[in-house]
Amino acid sequence: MIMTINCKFIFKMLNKTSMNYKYHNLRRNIHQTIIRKCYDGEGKTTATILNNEADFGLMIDGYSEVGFRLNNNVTVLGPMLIFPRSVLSWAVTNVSQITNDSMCLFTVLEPKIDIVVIGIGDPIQNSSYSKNILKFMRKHNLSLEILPTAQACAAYNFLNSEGRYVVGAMIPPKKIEVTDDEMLRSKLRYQNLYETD
Amino acid sequence: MGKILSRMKRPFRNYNVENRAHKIISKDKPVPAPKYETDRIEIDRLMNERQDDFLQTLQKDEHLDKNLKNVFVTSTKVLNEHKVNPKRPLPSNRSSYEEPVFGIVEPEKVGKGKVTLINALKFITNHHANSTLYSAASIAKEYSLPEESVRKILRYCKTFEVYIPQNKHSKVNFAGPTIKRMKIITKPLKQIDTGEQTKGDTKE
Repeated sequence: MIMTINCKFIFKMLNKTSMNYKYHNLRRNIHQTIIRKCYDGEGKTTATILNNEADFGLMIDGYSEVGFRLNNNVTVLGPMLIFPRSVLSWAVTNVSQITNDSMCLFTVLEPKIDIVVIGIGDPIQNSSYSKNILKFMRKHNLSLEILPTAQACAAYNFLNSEGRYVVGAMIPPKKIEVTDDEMLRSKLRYQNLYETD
Repeated sequence: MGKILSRMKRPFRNYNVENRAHKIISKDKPVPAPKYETDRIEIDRLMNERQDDFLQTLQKDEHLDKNLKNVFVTSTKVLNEHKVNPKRPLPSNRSSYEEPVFGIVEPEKVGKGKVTLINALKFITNHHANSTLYSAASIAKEYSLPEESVRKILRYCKTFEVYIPQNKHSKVNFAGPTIKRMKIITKPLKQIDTGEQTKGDTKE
């Protein structure tokens, strides 16, 4: 059985007017700021779940020790390279294998990638691993975001919804904490609830 | 003073205002608003003096209605064409913005040593399907990439294949990295005339 923790569904609270505004204008003028109003009262505020909108492209719905659940109903096993509308498997196992060789694809792509989001798996206190990555990215003039996978998934989703050319390089975390609710949800998703194992 | 008074009165005036409004809106046929005093006097006067004519104006006249349906207005005047400066023509394309398939607009020309995402995905898929036909060297030649980086890309980036759990029916599609598999091709070997027949398998 594969247990998948629910990556926090990303809610974006938007006013009805500003939602339309976003829908029409944001895709092209990504630097424009959205004017957000306060909570208007019941029935007047709407929320868009980015992951449910087909327009926003491929997104990560959840992550686990074995892989990632995407919003196109596919559970990807192992580390992956996720592009706005496509996904590739990435043959690395841990942070130490994120080398110049394994990041070679980022440097040859045309048009240039806007930002690379690297999910390193579990959070690591010692940041020495990032030195080599930073050096490499600086050499090729690429923007970089290194985060633990849990946060990297959300960051990737947001950047993708804004219409940027973002690449997520994700390694599944080794340890995840699962709540009862998430357990139940994954059971519902992957097997019959009343089945024993 | 009036301001203070109206502020004090407002809560009473607005009491239950939404319910009252809904009650009025939800009626099938709206109740007409009362007439102005001057209008009312005028209507009364007409009713007294020329009742028949006045009532007739309120009725729908079938004949006039029919006539009106036969009236068509056609314009014959030709509008002046908007003058366009041929040196600076206005945009004529009115088609809407189309989302690119892979989320990014693909460039028409790609420099040497660079490749578009579509082509990259294409050669990665091809290589993992048939590594002899689409070798690193041939890919490097086709897309004018350095062979070294093609080899690195092919080593670390793989396509997915769908896995179906054997023992359980699951609603979810699992996709794992493609694994290189041995292909067994049976091919008859040269026969020896002595009669004994041998067949062998060759592995590729």
